[in-house]
Amino acid sequence: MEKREKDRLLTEAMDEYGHYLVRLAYSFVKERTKAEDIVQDVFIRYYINLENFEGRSSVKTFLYRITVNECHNYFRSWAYRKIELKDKLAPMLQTGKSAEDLALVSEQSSDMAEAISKLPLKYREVIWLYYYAELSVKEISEVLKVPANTVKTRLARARQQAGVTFTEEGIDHA
Amino acid sequence: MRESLKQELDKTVPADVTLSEAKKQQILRAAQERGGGRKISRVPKLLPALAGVAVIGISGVLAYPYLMEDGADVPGETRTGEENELPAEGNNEDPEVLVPVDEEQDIEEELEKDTEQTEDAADEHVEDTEESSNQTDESMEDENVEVESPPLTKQDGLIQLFDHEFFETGIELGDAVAEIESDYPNWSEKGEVEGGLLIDYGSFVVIHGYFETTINHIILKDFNQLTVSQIEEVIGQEIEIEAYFNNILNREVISGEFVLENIRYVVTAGSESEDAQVLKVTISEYFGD
Repeated sequence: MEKREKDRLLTEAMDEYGHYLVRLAYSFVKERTKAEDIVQDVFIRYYINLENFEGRSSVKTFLYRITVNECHNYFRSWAYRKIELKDKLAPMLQTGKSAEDLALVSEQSSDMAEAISKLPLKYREVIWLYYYAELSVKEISEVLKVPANTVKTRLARARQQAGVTFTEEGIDHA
Repeated sequence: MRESLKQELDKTVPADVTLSEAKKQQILRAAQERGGGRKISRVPKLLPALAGVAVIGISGVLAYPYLMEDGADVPGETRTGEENELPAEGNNEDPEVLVPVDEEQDIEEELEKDTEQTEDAADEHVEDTEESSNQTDESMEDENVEVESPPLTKQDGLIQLFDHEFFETGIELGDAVAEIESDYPNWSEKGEVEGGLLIDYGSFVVIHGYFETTINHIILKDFNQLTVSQIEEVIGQEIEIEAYFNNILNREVISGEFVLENIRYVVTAGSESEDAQVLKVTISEYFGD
């Protein structure tokens, strides 16, 4: 494949998925720079593997799969554990935020989103991939490399735990 | 409803978190630079070679004083440069000869310290990989060297309770797959499980992620008459054993879990009773609920 063609395909992919991928990564890692780094790495991998893609669907699932995996890797990294430890200690230390700031932040996110943000990662990620990235159950199963039934179960449990109650086609509800 | 939930989720991310045009250009440039047929690998292929060069380099630095002194024909010296040869008695009185010998002794002593390991000492420890893998007791004591590999457990009682050959291997969570495959090549089966790939060693199984090269789960099997209550006695915690339907296995599974020293143990039992036999124990790092 010619370089110009590869550049065009990468630019297209960044235009189409870049915004969602950065926001998805941010929703996991809660750090703007890290989210951007993850997505940069994802697109570079895509560029290198461009000749292996046969259809738009495989591009989409590839990009989301690598993004999710990079986020998982970040959670396992020593760098993240240090941040996690600091966060756990933070309430014991004096914070820079006033009570008003904290109240404002809590008002900005709805109860449902708040509940979702507190879900374990494996439930949170299926909710984000299904509702935010608008991936199908089949696509999520490819992204997470788990059977479709597992995705359905996780979605149902995530909804149950987050208090999301509504019906949609094709999904077994809790 | 799906659309409204999408908007709710979108609101939880700051509006200015997006892939800017400048960032896109930066990615394009980086991709062009790195995309010249070279694949990005989490573990660079040159790493083993670089590690080898580093070990040889360190060996060279340590051996340099001996080699130099050999060349200078210092009176009283009998060393030929061989690493394992003991220095001649007379050398102990020669301060110039004592320096490197002391250095080696210091390094060995440093490696033996359990909790006072520094990153520098960890680098030196690379030289002794082969030796430490054979000395399982010592490697269990040296766990703190690997900052990213938490100790399986320091509870001797638990290790004795499990009485499992796995603990003799020295394999830890976080160990490199390539390394354990070379040290313990007798795996019987490779396969795929939920969330990763497995290597079955018979009485235990190790699992690593699809895109990872390190062990993230270890499953111990083939226990000799171990019961759930025996584990509870040792850990001083109650293990709540419950039956649930596993969609992947398509059958009922009876299990419970406990966390000890930042390690999560999932105990699969034969029944829900207190004296149920333990069928397997899955070990993974605990990231919190």
